[in-house]
Amino acid sequence: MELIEKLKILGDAAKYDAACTSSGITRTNKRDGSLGNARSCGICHSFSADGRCISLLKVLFTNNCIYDCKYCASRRSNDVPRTAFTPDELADLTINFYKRNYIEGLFLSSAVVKNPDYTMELLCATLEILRNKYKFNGYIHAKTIPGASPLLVERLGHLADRLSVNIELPSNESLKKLAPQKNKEAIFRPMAQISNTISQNRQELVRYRHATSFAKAGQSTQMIVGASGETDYQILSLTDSLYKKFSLKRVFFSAYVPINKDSLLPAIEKPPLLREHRLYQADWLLRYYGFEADELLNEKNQNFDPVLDPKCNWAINNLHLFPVDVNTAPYEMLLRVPGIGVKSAMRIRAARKIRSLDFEALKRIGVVLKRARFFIICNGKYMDKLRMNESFIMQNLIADTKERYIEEQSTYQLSMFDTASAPLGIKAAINDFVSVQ
Amino acid sequence: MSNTEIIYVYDGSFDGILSAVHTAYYSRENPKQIMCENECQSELFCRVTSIETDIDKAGVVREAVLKKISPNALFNIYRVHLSNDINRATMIFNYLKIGFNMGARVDLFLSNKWVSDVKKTALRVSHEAQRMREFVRFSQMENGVMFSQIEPDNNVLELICPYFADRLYGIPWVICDQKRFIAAIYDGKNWVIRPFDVKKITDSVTDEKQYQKLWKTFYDTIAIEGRIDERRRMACMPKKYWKNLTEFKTG
Repeated sequence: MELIEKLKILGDAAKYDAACTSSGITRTNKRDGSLGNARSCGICHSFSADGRCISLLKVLFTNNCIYDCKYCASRRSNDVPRTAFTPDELADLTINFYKRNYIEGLFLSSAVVKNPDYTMELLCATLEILRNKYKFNGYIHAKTIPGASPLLVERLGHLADRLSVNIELPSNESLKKLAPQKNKEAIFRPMAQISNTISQNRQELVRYRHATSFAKAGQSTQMIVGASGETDYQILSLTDSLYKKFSLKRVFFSAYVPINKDSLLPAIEKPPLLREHRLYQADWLLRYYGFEADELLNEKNQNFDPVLDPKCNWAINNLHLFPVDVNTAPYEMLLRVPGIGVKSAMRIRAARKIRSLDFEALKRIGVVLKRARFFIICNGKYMDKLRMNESFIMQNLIADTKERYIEEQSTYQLSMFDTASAPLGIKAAINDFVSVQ
Repeated sequence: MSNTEIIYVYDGSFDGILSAVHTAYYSRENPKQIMCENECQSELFCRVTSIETDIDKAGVVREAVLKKISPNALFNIYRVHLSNDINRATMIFNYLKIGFNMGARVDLFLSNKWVSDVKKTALRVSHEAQRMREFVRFSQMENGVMFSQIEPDNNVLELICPYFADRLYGIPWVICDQKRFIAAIYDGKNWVIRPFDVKKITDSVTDEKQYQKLWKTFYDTIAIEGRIDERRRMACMPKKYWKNLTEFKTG
């Protein structure tokens, strides 16, 4: 088969993976005949027609799979053309794309061919050609194959900058139902191994000059949103515990795109993009804004409001904490004001040392006053002389919601299943899910 | 204080701006505007003074910025100088005036119009430089040199050169700014910026066409049909950059 055909098939099979970041590590060229560098902010080289960034050459090594996961395009029971790269041709393609500044590096994943270990050997072989033969110094994100031996995970980690194990389905029940050949052990055992090795490796790198780095840009994972019945609260609590337990760098959400017809899969037309968007917003609040999952959702309110973003929603439910005076409020509280992001909060903190701030100054600083004006005062005064109450604020914030999201509102509700019953309580169920014997 | 307003005109160089700042300080004049000579429109009721670029005077101001304000302030005004904002020199002058009063703390004074304008413009230039790091597309020439054309709004070419010199260490490349008819030329070790005429370029090798085709194929394949979002693509990758991107070239 021609290379161009292979690229078409294996690029197509890889596209449902959400993560395409080249972030988390800065590395300059070693000036020893090696090619490339890496920047910790990550560089997006292009944007595809769906608006997602293209940072890495994202392909499967092969789409020849022994598994039959219901949601997957490459499942064994699908009649699709099957192919595989050879390690050499994939390495060569990566180098030539990289030299032309098309990409920051390679994102290599694979279907499971023959068995997990055999597949992992092939991935390692490709990366070894890149790192050793071509002295490739750019970014590599590799996906470990669930069920592969720990030794191979270790080998892969010394070649890649970032490793990930995809959870795909956010609960044990869904895994059993939709990916019956995978089990939670095969996912969380390598995840725990990678997390431990990364923290050990950090110490080794400090202590020994010749220690080689292991997945220095950290570990990430992905979950499909909307293929199974979990609520936003379940997904967010799981996300939170993954950050805490395995120190993941990122948890990615991928709106379920209906590819296969199956009685066990939801019958939806469009991927639940709004739901994915709300989860990402909440994910940001967890990672950068000091929020806890339980502040955003709880057992009673298990799903995000389609018309209000999670931060506005939290603020409306906690009106007793507002308004805050931008000239005196602590930084942590500024971060919690809708319309003030991390950058503007830092700018406010700096600028108010020089002179007390008014609304004109806040506008210059980059605060989104359209939202923030309901929650802040400058020197004792609201921006407009309006009486603030919940329904008034709600009306104004909702009027501000982008039209395209309103369109999606109906699908948001429709795509929801009956809430899965969790007799132990959601927290306990999640703890049980992520535990490894 | 006379009634006529003063406009300074400089030659467009960074040293020209610094010379103008020097002149304003030592003549105790307060120019309303400092304009680049080929962007200046004659205004009535204004006194126009032509500023001669003087390396020594510029050096004095540069030192003063470093010592009395901060290295960061110098980087800020340099990026503003590279911008396409017609008021860039005026902005720099007013920012420095505040800076010489406040010292390094000037960068915290975000409630001030000039400080905020300078920082925003500097950021805009940095943003476009970052976009060029993303969107430069090299093609390999017959002699092995990697060649690329860009058309940025701001003059960011020199800001991106250190990055590509590191990324492609040892591999000669040329990045040509088609708007300003200049190019950065890298021999594998050092880079320089020179006036450049694009007509001299030889055709690329056949291998090159193959890789371009592969890239186009990958680009078209990777989008998910169910998520097509033209608005988001355009926001991240404005159409003005498309004509130099391999993925949008036909044939």
